[in-house]
Amino acid sequence: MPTIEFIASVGWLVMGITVVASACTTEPGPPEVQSAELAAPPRDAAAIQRGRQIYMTGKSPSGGKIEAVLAGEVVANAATLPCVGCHGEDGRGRPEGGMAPSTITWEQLGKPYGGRGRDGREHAPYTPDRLGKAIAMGIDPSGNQLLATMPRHRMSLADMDSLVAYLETLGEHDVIGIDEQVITLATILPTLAPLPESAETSSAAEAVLLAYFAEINARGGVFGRRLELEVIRLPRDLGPTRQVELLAAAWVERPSFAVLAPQLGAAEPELLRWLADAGVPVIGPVSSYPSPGTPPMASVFWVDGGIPAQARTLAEFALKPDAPGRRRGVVVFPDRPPERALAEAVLAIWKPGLIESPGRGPGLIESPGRAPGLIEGLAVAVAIGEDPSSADSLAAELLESKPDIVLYLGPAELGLAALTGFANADSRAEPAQILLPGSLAIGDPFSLPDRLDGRIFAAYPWLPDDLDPAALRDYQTLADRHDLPATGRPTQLATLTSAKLLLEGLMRAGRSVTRPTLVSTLDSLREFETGLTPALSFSPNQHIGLHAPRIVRFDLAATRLDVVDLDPE
Amino acid sequence: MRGSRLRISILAFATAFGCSEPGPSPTRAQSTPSTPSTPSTPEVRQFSRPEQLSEPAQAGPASKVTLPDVVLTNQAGQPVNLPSLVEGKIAVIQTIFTSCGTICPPMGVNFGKLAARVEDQSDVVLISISIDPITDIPERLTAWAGKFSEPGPSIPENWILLTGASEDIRKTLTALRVFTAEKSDHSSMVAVGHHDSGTWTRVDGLSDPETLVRAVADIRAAIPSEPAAKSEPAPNEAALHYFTDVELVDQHGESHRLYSDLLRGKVVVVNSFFTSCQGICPPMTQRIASLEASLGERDDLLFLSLTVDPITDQTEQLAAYAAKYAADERWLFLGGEPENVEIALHKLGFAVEAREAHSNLVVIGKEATGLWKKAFSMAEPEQLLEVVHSVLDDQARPLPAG
Repeated sequence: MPTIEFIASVGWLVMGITVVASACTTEPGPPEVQSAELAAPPRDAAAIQRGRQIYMTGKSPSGGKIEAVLAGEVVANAATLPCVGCHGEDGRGRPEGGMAPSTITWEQLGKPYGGRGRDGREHAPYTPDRLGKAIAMGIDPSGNQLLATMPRHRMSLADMDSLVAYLETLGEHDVIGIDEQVITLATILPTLAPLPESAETSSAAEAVLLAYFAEINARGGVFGRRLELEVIRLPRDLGPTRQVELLAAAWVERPSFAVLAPQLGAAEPELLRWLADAGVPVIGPVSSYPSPGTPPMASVFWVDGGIPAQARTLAEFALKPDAPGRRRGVVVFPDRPPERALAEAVLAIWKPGLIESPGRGPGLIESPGRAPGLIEGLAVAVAIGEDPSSADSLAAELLESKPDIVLYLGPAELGLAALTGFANADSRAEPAQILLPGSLAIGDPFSLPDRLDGRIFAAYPWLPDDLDPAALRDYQTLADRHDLPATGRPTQLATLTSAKLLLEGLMRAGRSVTRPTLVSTLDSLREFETGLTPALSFSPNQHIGLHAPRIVRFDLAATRLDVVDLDPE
Repeated sequence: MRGSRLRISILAFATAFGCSEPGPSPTRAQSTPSTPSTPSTPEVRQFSRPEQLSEPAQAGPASKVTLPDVVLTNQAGQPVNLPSLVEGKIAVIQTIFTSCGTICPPMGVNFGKLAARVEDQSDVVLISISIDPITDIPERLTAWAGKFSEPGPSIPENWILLTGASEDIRKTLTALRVFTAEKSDHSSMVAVGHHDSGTWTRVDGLSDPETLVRAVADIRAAIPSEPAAKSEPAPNEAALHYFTDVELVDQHGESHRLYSDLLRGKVVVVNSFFTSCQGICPPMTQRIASLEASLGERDDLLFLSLTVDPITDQTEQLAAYAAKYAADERWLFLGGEPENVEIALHKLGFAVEAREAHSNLVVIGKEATGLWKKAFSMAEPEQLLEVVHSVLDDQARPLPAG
């Protein structure tokens, strides 16, 4: 009897196969064997990496097309709705607006006894092939249609294989750069060899970070995890594109959770763009020309606004009408893109609606100040690396322009010489106001001619009275204990400030921190006291923590700085 | 053991790929929405949600929306008055925020497609309102919509994105009935409507652009052609149909048609009584007499007292009763053919089985504005007067026909 039953069941089976095979033209071939019974194939790390990119961005690493097909056969570029939007970085789903996207960690999908969707329907366990079919055709392993809100996707077979390879790892290791024991943080510094002048600050920054991490680790780390520093050194003499390639290569080798206090030099915009596109949080780049953009790059946070913020504050200060009537302002800037953009921004503050004047040659922008009370602006470009001997011609040009205000963004040595020459030759009763962003460190303004007494103003991100003496003592203790170099102290303090900011973000985001939660934590950080700066505040549209540079007036006679109260009320 | 497991897997295989065409079938998605889905067919059930939600589009105007008079900011940073933006237009309004990952991207895709689809319909404007106005500065709105615009990244002219002061955004969302405290709870609903006539409907924003196109067409069809004329002469057909022109006879023996002579263009104070009533009628009639006396000269004001006993109350009885309360010309005591009186009582809300059960309420109504109020006849005279004045002063626009 058992034999007959066996034969009968085999016969039924054969019939079943025949029926299936004849009825179905779309999917010929034998039924799949459950892969759970087979040994797991070896993992392909490169494929997983490519798959992660598809999951995070909806873009194909090979540049191919990936399309999402929505309800009603609406075809969209998958980059506008990548997997991560609904399913989250951890694959656990982000409920929103009445939608509850499924948990798609492999642990969940691959359960040998199948699963149950949020609609209550059961389905057989997923295999890699079946997962691909779900993504491409919207059908679960039991043949049920997935909810209409899950798009179907069209992509190359190679991309699908990469994506599925990544999905098989989803939920295992959620966060790059963090494991049970260690948070790996990177800093990016210039190489030591070709540019010796930056080597000093570079090694000082590395030393202060190592010292600070050692202190934190000695106290038990962050939620039981040690902080480890990964130093990436990029040669400053290479072009931005090449530096981005080197960074990308180093990153594949050993990705970190976040980048802390990088010193990126001229390639800063390109390097930060690459990091931001990869979703890497970058905390406190040590930078003179921060350019967050509007809206700011989502994952990059600056401590202070650098020279642009100081120059804007000075430009607005000059508008305050203690001198009535029309005045003429001149901006002197080195002819490089960030400085040129800043010069244009200053002219726009003085006189909105500036006009490019082709007649005055390259580097000259003129805005006719027609309205009373506004400043008629003129920008004078100086060549990069211009040697101080050209100070005479700059002084002559200034003299000819008869400015009431000079905002100087150029190199220090040239500035001191040219402004001295200009002030000495200027016979007007009221000499010009001189405005200097403090971060340019224009040598010794006290050496300028006495005629300018009370007419030299400088802006700084903060003044000594903004700092907490206890925090400075803490730094001194750290420096003594770890034998920090005595040089590059401003860079050390700036680096330490960035590190304090990142630590605050990590503490507030909690032990289950991810890159997105760190970013949203910092986005909502208000009035954070670093002790080494005034309090920092951020918002999604404000990624520079300090908003109000301070202004001082140089009292040349008494060799003293007087703080200018910008809000007398 | 092995055989049976294999069989299960074949069965699953057959269900999945054997007999049905892979991928969702568009015919299912477009099946008649009014037909309820068959619960035994899982594929059909998948699509039931968006269809049910979009049903009001077919069912006609579902809600009345009055957009607040607020000034918001568009994606170019320019101030925009919301009502003027939608004046004379059919507006398709969704609520989004640019950092939303789950439902907003598909809603953005749909609006991008819809903007291209209705490009030639100059009376249609698409509006995306940010529910996170503090974060969503114009630059973010521009970048967001640029991703979904076709061909992009420039945003088509018929698609406006709005941010603004939190308070103004809250008012707008409340008017659209999509306000939520948590932005992650926000609705995928799209409001489709004609601002000028207040004709609105709601559609699920996750349904495809064609559903939105149909909703726009439905709204266009539902817009009243011309607002009803304000002047009195035009008879209100609906009111005539309701009240009818049954003939009633007053205390002077004169006949009046109920709607055309007694209600149209008038403000009426109506009560029911019978002349032989010894209970509530005398004090009630007394109250009405003093109310009538306290109201000044107005040629549109009429007092109507309907008898609930038209067999007993003939013209003589009514005349005697009127004389007792010194009723003047604008106070009519009405009787007539019993079936006519029955209809009039019924239409005015005074119908009763037995005459003793008659109402002690006064009904005050203004046909021109369609405002009708009830008052307790024995209320304080000042209160009664106040109700009458509120009806007399009613300035609401005439109801549209139909």
